[in-house]
Amino acid sequence: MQIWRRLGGHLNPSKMAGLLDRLPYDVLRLVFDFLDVETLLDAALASHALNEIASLSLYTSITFNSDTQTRAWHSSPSNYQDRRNPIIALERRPHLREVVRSVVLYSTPVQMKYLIFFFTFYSCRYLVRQSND
Amino acid sequence: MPVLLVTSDNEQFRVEKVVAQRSVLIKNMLEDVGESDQPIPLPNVTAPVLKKVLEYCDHHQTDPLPTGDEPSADESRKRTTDISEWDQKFITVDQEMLFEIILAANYLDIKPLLDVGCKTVANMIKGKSPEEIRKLFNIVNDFTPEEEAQIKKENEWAEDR
Repeated sequence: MQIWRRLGGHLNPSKMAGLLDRLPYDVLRLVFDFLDVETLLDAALASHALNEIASLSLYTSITFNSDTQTRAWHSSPSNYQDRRNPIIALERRPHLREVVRSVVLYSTPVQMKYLIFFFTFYSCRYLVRQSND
Repeated sequence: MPVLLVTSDNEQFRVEKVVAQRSVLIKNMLEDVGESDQPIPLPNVTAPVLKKVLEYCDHHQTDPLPTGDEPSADESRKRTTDISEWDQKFITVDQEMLFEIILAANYLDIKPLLDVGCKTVANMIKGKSPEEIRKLFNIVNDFTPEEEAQIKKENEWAEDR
């Protein structure tokens, strides 16, 4: 199934013969897997359809930053407000949790005990439980 | 031992087995039929495209076959432009042929050729702004300003990667 049909189609109907229109979904995924993060971020802003494909590559490897708002590390997702972390997107778009393959944590030693708690909590919530579903 | 391949436009190609077997699809078909002179139909590939694909297979006939232990997408991402000089020349074709080659590599299950094609397309997209990407894909911006702001906010964590 072609990606545009699969994602509901957001093409300009007068330009249906788009450059990548004919590529199968799996091939288009592979193309996006070869893109750097900066281009993925730009592609995500191009349209809904490209945002979906770009996000699947972008969220393969996610990064948690603990340099600000330390208290956020042990707050619940509903009041989690740290914009430097991917929690907001993973909460709003739960299907992205299924593509997460690695998590990188940035922290100071002091914050580590909170991070362990946090990471364990979210690993279970996002990775382990999802993979067992 | 040569193998006979028949394209969608009924052209026949007689190629060495070792070359044809770069395609996992053909390799599996040959294993299924055993030692046979039966032509192998390739209904999804035209003669000009198969000719080009066979040129690739011939050049790479002694390369080790993919094992499935290749680097993950994340590692590969760092090597987007990692295309050999010969492959670069080979894949310097018009866009129509490029996409036909990608589709054929996908159908024939020739992973290294599929990677070369996808990397080439990725390089065409790389470094382009959202507006330039829209032009390339022939798509319209269907985001509202609020939705665009939401996406920017959600992806802010990735900007420092």
